[in-house]
Amino acid sequence: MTSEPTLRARFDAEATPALLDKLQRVARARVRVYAGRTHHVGESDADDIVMSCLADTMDGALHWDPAKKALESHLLDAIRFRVRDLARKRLRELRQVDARDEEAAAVPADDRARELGRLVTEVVVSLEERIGDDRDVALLLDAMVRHRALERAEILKETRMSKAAYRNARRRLDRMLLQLPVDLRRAP
Amino acid sequence: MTEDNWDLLDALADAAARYEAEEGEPTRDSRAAALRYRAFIDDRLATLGRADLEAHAPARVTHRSIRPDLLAMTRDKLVAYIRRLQDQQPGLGFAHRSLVDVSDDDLRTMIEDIES
Repeated sequence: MTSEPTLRARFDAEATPALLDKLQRVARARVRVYAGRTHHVGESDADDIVMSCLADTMDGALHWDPAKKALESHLLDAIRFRVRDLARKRLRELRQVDARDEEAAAVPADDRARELGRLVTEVVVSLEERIGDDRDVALLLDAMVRHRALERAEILKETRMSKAAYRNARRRLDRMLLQLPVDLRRAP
Repeated sequence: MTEDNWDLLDALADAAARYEAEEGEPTRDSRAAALRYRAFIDDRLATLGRADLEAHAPARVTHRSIRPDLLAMTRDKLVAYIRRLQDQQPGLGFAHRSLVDVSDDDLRTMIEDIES
């Protein structure tokens, strides 16, 4: 499958150094959240995903309609879905290290769910270490983790914070997400 | 519970990506990656461009010389030759049925094409 020459010309024009730079940083920011300390996904995956999104768009395998979306928006969406899919795939493919054959190596569903729970705990603990005594950010994270309030309205209701306090706390929490450790420890 | 955990991670990943896109600054790593991506794009676009050119290349015209025995024939003989071929192959059709406006060399080429 190949894309049209006019589409490729648009791609060529919109794939500026600034956009490509941003794609790499955003892909890495996403990967860091799913990485955990057991290496479900790593920073090299971020690079591979950006490359595959670029290649598939140029080849036409990943549909892009310039009339509906700028290249930036198209690629950021594609990266979002591919990182999510890869994180899930890696967990599904978890294998027991000491198993002797392929069938025995498959990790049971309950264990995979526990592993996912462990990943969430790692992310939360890592954030809590950075939050320190920032009460608003602690409240915000608590609402997200314990009450699963993920939307702005739900968080405001749960924490009873003012909109301004929420906005500021949200920015501080989001900044901390970029400091999540990756590649700290290899998988056992 | 599993889906809840994925939803939480997805929400955190979205927040991290949004923050990086809006507030992030280029780093040495990201600039190096951007150069790598751009080289990859240039290479890929060049490959696709070459494939386009090959797919839409103009028809290749090969020049060949006319057989000496046909070159020696006059127009009358050439027309008679073609008529004979038509008698032998009733299904044979030409764009120029009357052969009046066809040059002698074109008549020779027609014969070669029929017999090839």
